[in-house]
Amino acid sequence: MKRFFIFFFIVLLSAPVLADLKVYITQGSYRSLPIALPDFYSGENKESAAAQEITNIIRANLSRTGLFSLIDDEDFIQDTQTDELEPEFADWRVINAEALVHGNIQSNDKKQIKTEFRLWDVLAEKQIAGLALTTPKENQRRVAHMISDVIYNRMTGEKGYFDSRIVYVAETGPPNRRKKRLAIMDQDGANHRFLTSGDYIVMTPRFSPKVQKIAYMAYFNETPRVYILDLETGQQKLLGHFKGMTFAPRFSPVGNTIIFSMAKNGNSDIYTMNLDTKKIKRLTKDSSIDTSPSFSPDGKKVVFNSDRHGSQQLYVMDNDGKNVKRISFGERGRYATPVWSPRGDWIAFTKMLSGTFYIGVMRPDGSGERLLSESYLDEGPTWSPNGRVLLFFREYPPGESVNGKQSAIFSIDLTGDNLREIITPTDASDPAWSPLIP
Amino acid sequence: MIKNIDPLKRAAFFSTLLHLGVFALAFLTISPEITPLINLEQTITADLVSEKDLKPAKRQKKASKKPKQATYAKPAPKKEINKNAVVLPKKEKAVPAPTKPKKKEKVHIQKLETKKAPIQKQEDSQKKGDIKTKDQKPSFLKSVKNLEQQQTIQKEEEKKASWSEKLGEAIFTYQEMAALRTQMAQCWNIPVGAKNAEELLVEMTLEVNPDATVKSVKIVDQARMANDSFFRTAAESALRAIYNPLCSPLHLPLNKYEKWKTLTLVFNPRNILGF
Repeated sequence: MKRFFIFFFIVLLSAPVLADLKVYITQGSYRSLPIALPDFYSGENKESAAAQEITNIIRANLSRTGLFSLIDDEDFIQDTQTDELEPEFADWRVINAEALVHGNIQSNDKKQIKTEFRLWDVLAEKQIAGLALTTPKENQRRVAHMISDVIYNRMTGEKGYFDSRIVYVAETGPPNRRKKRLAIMDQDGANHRFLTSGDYIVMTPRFSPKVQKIAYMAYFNETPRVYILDLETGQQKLLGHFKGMTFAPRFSPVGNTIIFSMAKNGNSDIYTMNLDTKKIKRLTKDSSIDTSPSFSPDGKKVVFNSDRHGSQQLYVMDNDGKNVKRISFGERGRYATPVWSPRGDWIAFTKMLSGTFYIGVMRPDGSGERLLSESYLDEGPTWSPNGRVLLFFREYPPGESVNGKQSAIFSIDLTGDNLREIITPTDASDPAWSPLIP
Repeated sequence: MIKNIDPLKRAAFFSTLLHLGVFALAFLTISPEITPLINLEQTITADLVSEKDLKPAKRQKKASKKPKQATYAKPAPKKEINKNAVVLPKKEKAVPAPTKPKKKEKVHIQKLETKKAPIQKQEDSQKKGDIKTKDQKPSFLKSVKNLEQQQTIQKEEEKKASWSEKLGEAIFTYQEMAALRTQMAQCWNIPVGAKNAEELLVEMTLEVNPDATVKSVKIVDQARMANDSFFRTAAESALRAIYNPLCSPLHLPLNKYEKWKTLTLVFNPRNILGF
């Protein structure tokens, strides 16, 4: 028996020696990923301008994310001026490239261009993406955005957001005669155009899920009401004939319902209207101001802000108005303009505390609050299609301007990093980021 | 001229004009504004095609432009396995997939299949000292209780990791383990912002050569690698750390080869991401 115990203990003690060595790596770096993106090859054909433009758009897209750093063309060792590149991976490793993109462009008789590209993981020495896109020439910007989306998706695991648009309120003129027009542009600022004339004030534009319609509030005939603009026909329609003023509209994730606020006799409540059946449903019946509703991506919940318990705070309820639950509990400060992330994991908001405005995020249950930006006035967050980046607008104190602007749109990463201004031709407010273009 | 027209016809003409004017006025007043048609929709179709033939690359000699090159030893000759892997089958004819009905412009998308490449990393004889070390960004996560949370999470993480690491310590000193961890920290570029990043724990098994270069590496959870794109990205980022020239050879005590010839690494972004 004694021998058995001795044997048992010997086995027990030798166990650690037999076990494989296991090491936990719990530290890393946040450097941007070095990527080599030589000019797309156009050879002898006439598409060198298109090749240059597509390459430049992809470079700009990736660079703006802050997640990639582009390697200088001058450093390249391997000749990339070929229609099909067989990478000499050692040559790319030497210049510290971790990813390599190579593409070529050809045109055909039908005035179409065919853009092929491949993405390699240089360190693993394997191709990880490859696509060929054929399109009429005027679509080449979109082709570049789609290629950027594929590269971003493959390297980060998340969907890209480059093939998308931004609608916002373009502002001009002095404060007492401020002109506010709806304007739309690609996410990189290209293809900018105004959608309304500026004869009446517009606010809070929001895209439909298919990016075909925009719901917004307009002071037409001195009455604030919600309108829906069809981008294909240019036609605008009033959202129902209500006695009270309607505002703060948003589409449901499916797109067949609008959720909005309506003020009657000094009390604002939240309503939905089915765009097919025109059926209206009242979701809140509180004597306080309930506004800024936003659906969760599955459409089952709604986040909104209300002053029902004194100060303005965030609440979540079911889509039928039941189970109202307060989620913001800041000791001090007010919360406004909540918007649910398209991937469902965060709610972004504006926070006001001691005369300073913040853009922040919290989990849908109110936990994990983090503040991402702060200034004299930061307001109105809107999510990128992949829920990884936020846009918001910043207004400078009266009499101050930056780059000739009193208000501008900014983007910031969910991490609180990479704050950048989105360049617009005029002062800008109330941005809304579209989903990916279908 | 107009006097020669029948008075009735003339009246009808003016009446039509008047009506058109009234209708136009009514139309403009009903709606707040009619903006011109906005041609935004461009529809997209996708086609799948097979692999393409790749031509051998031309090597460019740009020695004059490349002072950097001089600082590196010449890359090791390519392994034969690599050569073979690059020779792709002949280009096959594209098979157009069913296309969606088109409204206006189309973008045809073809998928270029991945060529098979060797998993093994090609050895690089670069000197570590010659490689520019990338700046590590300071923690940029602005959290309300970020610091506190980070500390708490780290303590919890250390507790969890401690059991299996203690096993390692029995045969492997703390300093030796720390050297490897510090080296990997330089090479691992953490995937940031992924949904539920705290769940992206990547475990891999390494077979290591006696000179501490990696012989082979395998991600343990292959099923998740195939089905979860976030996990795949996290795993690939960990693999890139292993393949990174800065991390070859691994910082391991060469006299203890028997103890680390098979090695398990767990890349855990949880306490780094902080959310």
